Amino acid sequence: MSIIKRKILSRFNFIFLALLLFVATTMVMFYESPERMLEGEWVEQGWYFEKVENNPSFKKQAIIHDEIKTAAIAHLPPLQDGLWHFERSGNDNYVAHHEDKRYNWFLKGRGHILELRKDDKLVESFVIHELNRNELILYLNLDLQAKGIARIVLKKGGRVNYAEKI
Amino acid sequence: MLRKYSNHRTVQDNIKLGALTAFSAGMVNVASVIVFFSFTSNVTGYYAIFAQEITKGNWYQGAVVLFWILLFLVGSMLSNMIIIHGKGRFSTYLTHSIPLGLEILSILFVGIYLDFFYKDSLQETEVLVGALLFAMGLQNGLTATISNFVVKTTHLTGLTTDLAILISMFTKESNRHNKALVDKFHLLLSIVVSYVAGGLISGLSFAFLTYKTFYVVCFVLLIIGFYDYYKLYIIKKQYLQRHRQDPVSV
Repeated sequence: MSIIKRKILSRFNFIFLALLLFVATTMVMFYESPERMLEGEWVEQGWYFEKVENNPSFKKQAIIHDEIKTAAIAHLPPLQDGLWHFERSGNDNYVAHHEDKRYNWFLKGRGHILELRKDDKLVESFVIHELNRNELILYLNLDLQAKGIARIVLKKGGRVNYAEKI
Repeated sequence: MLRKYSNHRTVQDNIKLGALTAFSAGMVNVASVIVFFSFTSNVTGYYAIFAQEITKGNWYQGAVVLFWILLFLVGSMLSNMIIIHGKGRFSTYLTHSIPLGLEILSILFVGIYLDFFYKDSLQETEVLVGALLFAMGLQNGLTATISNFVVKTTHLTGLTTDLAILISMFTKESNRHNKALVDKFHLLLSIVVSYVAGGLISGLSFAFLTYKTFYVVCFVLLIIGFYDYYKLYIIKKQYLQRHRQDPVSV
């Protein structure tokens, strides 16, 4: 009796494992991937300090000054107007709505790293903290006047929403 | 390194196997972090990330992490299955070489794909990370099985614990003269040093070789495979020479 039970259990292990592998593979293949979710226009809602080095002048303020924000993305012209537009055409992922189309975007890891490259050279990388159909929260390491981590909150929306906002 | 099994292995056999496989694991891990932003020689962190992604409702990311964990598990399982079912049917060396051969093929696939076909898409990244985790699972399963669970080279959590315990034990005079403990200390230390060295060399070579670093890993693994082949060849040659000189004793 015990031998039969163990034989069944041993087979059950294989079935369970195969089932898990099948479910995981199917989800990876057919579930909405972060790449697809990221495509489209995102409007900046705000820049906040998530973590900041022990510095009394920055410790108490949550919102990042425009001055620091501008400096942080000075090397990223397509993002400077507060509208982040991730476009995909075939195998080419580029940051759209800007005259300079040499900025490409890539997702890395399990979709938790957003890389921006210009002419195939890394310009900036963000950690994706939250990504769903409506909201995108990114972390960016700041090393300017204030050393720390910036939390950038964006909402999905087109030019209409953006126009309303400004 | 590969032709002996379980208790027939000497400390030197384990040190050679441990050092070289840890070196390749360190190389793979650092190269994959650079290319994919993902660790590929261990799955401890992925269990935590899996739980975290599920609690956040990120089903896709959860599935990706589960897929990676399962590939590591399947790799280790396959390695052990090949060894235990191949025992008696094929030579020990051949049986132990098959998982190593599969590992080389997996890493070679990643290297070739990155070199010629990689478009930097997320789905490609997920599959390639999976292939590397499968390879590391094969390696860990192989070294653990043939060394009777003494050598594990792809992750260092347990090893660091063992090392810490040994360092503490050596504070007692009697333990410092215990050969078994000293041998184990040497083995663990050689694995740690090799893993770090592999990581450093991988990081440095990536700057020059980029994706071709994975070919270097394959070369290191080939050394493991051919080392015993060469030894067996020498032994066979010596045996034949001896019996040619003295045919009466045959």
